Amino acid sequence: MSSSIHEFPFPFEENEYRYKNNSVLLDPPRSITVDDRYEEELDLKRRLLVNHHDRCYQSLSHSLEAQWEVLRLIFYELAQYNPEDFQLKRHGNEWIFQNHRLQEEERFIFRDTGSIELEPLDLAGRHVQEDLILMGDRHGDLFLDAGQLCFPSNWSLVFTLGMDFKSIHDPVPGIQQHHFINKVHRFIKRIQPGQSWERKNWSITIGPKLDTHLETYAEWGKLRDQVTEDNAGDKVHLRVEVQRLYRLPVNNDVLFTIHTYLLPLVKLVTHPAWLRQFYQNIISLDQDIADYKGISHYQEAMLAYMERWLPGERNSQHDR
Amino acid sequence: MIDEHQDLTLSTGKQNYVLVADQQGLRVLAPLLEAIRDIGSPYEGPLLEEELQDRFDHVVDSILGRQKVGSYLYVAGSRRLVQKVCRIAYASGFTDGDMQVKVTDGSFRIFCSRCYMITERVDFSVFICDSCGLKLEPSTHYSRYHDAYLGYPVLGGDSHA
Ligand code: HEM
Repeated sequence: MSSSIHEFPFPFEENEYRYKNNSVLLDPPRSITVDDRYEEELDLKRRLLVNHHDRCYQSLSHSLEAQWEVLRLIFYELAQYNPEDFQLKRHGNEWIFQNHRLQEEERFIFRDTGSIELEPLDLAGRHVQEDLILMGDRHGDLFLDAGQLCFPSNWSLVFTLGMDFKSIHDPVPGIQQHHFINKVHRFIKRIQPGQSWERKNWSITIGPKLDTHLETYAEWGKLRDQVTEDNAGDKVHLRVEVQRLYRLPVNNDVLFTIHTYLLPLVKLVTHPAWLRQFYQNIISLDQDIADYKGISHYQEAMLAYMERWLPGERNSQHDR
Repeated sequence: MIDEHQDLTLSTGKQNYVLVADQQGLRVLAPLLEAIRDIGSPYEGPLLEEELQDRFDHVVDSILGRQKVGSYLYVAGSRRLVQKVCRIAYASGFTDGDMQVKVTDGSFRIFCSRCYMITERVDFSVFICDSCGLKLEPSTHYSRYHDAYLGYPVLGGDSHA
């Protein structure tokens, strides 16, 4: 999450939320972004990886080659776009990656798994704010072959490992309607090597909490019942995932990166255009989507809070 | 989320009913079929998997594909059959509110979303994970890799969703 509201990736373009393939082609084809929360988020990420490694990292053994390609992509991208903070030196197959933000150095032999202590994806992920999901492209389908997932929006990497793209999306209400998920699947299948596409996904989190794993739902889920009109400004956070899909040119697999941003309502209300659009999306949200995203618990409280800055808005909604 | 272990009930006031089953599920559908006949409503089926054999998918797809708003679907049978028909139904524009399903076969493996322990269950009712004590609500989210359904945490009287 960036501390400045101007850098927040506000996800809404319309007044009513409907599933849509809102992906745009990126030029240049970036897969990650470094922002001013880097140190703080990497610190949290690494603590989670140390204390709950299984929960945050999973891989199938056949994914190793593609993992090396991801590591190369990430280290190159960091060095190319943030040269003052990151450097990559190569002497033949011996690579030295320097991270000046964290004052660290990684030395290893490229594609020699014995030269690093972690798997390549697990190592690469420890230098970026994004969660990294590797989708293997096999038999005309995409399978979750490996992932480093520290900041999930209420799902489990352990359960999802090895699963195909469509089954992964089974819990999402209405996602099969109008063949939506089939169309998205076809879209991903057609992504060309070296291309990167970006989309935004949104949800809501109570408190400034990035690590909302399904595994710990019993701890953070109960906070949903504590939201009132008076505390909604501080507690309710718009959670936006900037997701990128990158086709790995050598292995032909797809790297899916997720950069998560949080914005508390108290800041959102300072941006009148965003406030109005967000309000309209929340008040018109389908019940099953509100249930799925966990919003039903406090939908009324957050609407009432936002109405303090939008007098008369609810009546004008009804008139529409 | 669609409830697949509750008994099927007649949902009245529909334009048309479509019934799909396998031999085992047919027994579950029988009383319902009677009730539909009683109210004199139009219906199609039961489409029987064993009868239609390799034409089954195609026939179900074309019959569901031409249904209008107000049609209602009943599916009963093995988990495999129910999942297959649900997929076709969703792709044809049916929603969870337009159907009832009943799974009739054996036991299910339920994956604990907190400790990953897998528990064998004979139905899809809420239960407590033996290993970590979390109250779990079995879902239809299935992993072939684990051969198990995801059990979502239940907080107090409330469910995850
Ligand atoms: C290959 C890359 C992708 C992966 C690995 C992935 C994975 C996931 C996962 C794990 C969930 C949560 C499901 C749950 O509740 O258990 C999810 C939700 C969702 N996904 Fe994807 N997804 C991918 C790409 C996409 C794309 C490209 C789209 C649309 C164009 C999309 C649309 C959605 C939507 C609408 C939701 C519901 C989100 C919410 O309401 O919070 N996904 N995805």
